[in-house]
Amino acid sequence: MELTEMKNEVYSDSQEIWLEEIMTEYGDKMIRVAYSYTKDWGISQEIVQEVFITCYKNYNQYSKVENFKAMIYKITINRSKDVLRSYFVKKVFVGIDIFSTHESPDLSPESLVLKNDESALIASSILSLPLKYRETIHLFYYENFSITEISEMLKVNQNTIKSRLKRSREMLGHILEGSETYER
Amino acid sequence: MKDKLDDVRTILEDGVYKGHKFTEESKRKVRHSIKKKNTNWFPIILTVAVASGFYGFGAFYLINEWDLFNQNNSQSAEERKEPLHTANADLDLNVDLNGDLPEDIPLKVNDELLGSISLPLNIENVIPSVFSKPLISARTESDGYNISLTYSGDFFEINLIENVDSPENIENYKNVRDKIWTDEETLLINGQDAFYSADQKEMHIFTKEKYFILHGADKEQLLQIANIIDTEKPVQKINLVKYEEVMMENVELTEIQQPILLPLDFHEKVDFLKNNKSPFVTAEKNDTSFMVIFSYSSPINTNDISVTQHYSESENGNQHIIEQIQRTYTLEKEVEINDRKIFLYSNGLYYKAYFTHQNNLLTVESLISSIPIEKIEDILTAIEIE
Repeated sequence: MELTEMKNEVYSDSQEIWLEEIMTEYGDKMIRVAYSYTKDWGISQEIVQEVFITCYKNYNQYSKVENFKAMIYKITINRSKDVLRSYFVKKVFVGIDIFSTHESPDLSPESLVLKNDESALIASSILSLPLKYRETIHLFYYENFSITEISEMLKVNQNTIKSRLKRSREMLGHILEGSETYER
Repeated sequence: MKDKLDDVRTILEDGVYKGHKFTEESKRKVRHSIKKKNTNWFPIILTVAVASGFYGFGAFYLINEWDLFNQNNSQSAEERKEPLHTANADLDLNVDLNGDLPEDIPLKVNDELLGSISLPLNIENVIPSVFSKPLISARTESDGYNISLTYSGDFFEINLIENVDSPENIENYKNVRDKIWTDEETLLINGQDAFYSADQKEMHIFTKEKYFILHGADKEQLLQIANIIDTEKPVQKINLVKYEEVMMENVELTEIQQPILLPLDFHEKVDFLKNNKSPFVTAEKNDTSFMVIFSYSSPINTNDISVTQHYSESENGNQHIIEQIQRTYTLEKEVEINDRKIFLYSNGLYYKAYFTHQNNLLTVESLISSIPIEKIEDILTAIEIE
């Protein structure tokens, strides 16, 4: 039996089928986006759960959006920023003390230098950048969004995005001492 | 190092991201949550049935008693019409504060919304290092809405959030809370309950109808901001307007039919831009408007200087861009040169300048450190509008 047919049997309406489809297509991607903000996998799972529930609740509107990909990224980014702004609000709205049960691994550049792992050092250096630089690097280099797309997603001017990319590269250069300047 | 950044995807996927997925457990929780919402049919039917019976009986009773009712004291009928919430007679708090818009919808930041907020729209007096005006955004919540103000400095951002909700919800949020910060401190600000965490650099203030989140500065600074929040300002029922995003697609310059006022050799007409060999051009359009951005490199520090032509078929189609500049930047200078009136704005970090011509809005944007203000005038003056 085809997967789609099985889904049709399990779920009675297109809204739930759509939810399954977007969870399959975007679940893993959104977890990584959320992690790039929160640096905590447990919290990221909670954020993405919320994102999909929001999508489901707004099915009539969201399912017709032409560029759904950009939209779900925007929702996830906004949710992640909300959580970063306020642990308290997260707790109140979701009713779960997510911060008490998850701990972030030690990803500090210093700890990884000791391990002499260059790739891990680069990864941890990116994740140690201030939020506005980290998100720009992640969306540009990891997600491969264009400057225009990032600008629309973050509601930030294109020149600001370019400046942030430039500044991020400089900061990474400082962190990864001894390396030459990044250019792209 | 270029290669290494180009390999970020591989580096992250083979390292930090390896093995991390949106789990089946999470999917199950999502399904459970939506099922819970969908399977409440029995109580709903029961409620409807009981309510129908009740109101049916009530209607029957009232029809029979109508004459007698009218003959009795009419004052008591007037009293029955009084709103349940007398604290703020202008606002029916049984109505959704988000105006029935779906959750998580961006809202237009208009004068009515700005007029309703209690947060300060200028904190220069308490924190002089921030740029003069905040970036403002607003979104609907499930039962209300929030307004977010971001004040930027060179290396920091201060976020202020105002959440508007019913008094019952606000009280509930406050009551159900536990201590979640190990260093949480309880405060009283303007007679209102407040909580602060030094570790999170975050402060929460509760009033009857609003709660505020202040984030991104030390305690003294947050306290100073907290003291200028108008916590006495009552909630008003305002007309929330959905922010309609202007969607455009990237196109080649040649795909734009209307006249483009920026020639490809424009940099040769402006001394300050002459070090550029060519502009970096991006163009976007939709059915009724287009935007062409020419980006140049500053001779001072190589940062971008952008010259943009915004065109709209509609006469006031660019007005929202002008309003946004006016709201978030401070007017530095107004110059009338020949056939155009140039407005020069800054926010402490960036310059933004513009003039309008027919259905076009011409703008220049750059970091203040990348260009002297008079050179911006030169650029805008060099654009030929004939």
